[in-house]
Amino acid sequence: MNKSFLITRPNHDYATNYLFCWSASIINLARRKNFRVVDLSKNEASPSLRAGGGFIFMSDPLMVTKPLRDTTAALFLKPSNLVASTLLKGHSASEADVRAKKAFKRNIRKLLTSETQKEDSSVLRFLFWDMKHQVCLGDAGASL
Amino acid sequence: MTKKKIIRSKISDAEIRKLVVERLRTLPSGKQISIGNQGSFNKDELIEKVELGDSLGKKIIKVELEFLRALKKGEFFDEQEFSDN
Repeated sequence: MNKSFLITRPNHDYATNYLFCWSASIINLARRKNFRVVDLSKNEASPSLRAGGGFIFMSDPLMVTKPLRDTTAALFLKPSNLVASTLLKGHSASEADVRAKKAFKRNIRKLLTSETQKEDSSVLRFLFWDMKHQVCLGDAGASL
Repeated sequence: MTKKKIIRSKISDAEIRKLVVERLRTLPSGKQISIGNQGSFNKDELIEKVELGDSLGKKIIKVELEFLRALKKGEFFDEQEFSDN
């Protein structure tokens, strides 16, 4: 029997629209890995189901109709997507946590170079916050 | 042996707020900052929240102070803390 993968994707405001679009690749990966995907999207996903983790991300409103091409948001959402994609590939929860944090660190390092424009480096404070506040709770060795 | 004189002065909340506001002014104007389920804000709205001192403003202060403390500690250049291993 296939394993099931439940994802809740509300899409009722600017931020959830970004997360809705960026999580599509996770759903595709789950399907490729033969998971039975239960996608509670848009109105099926109550906003009250959202985790109140305070995940912070910066984005470019000019890209609101094409969030996947927003390079500012990608600095945040690519690392955070790594948590789910690493788990879907069968790795442990702690490995998923470590890989995502490494991706945050890579982005932070890139932005610390002297060639980075001041405007771009303004995202550092938020990337650092996300990296520091991502936690892996429960059984760190658990895997799918 | 000469003793180093350490001067510690307490920084007031108002001074911290002022510092954070000045730092927020360096954010690009055309970007949105989405914060958990609290919504999305532009630079001016974040500054307003900090000046107001509401829960979101307090969170932004925490974000800034954590980042500044990490900079001071040299965390970004600490091989152990910031290595890929």
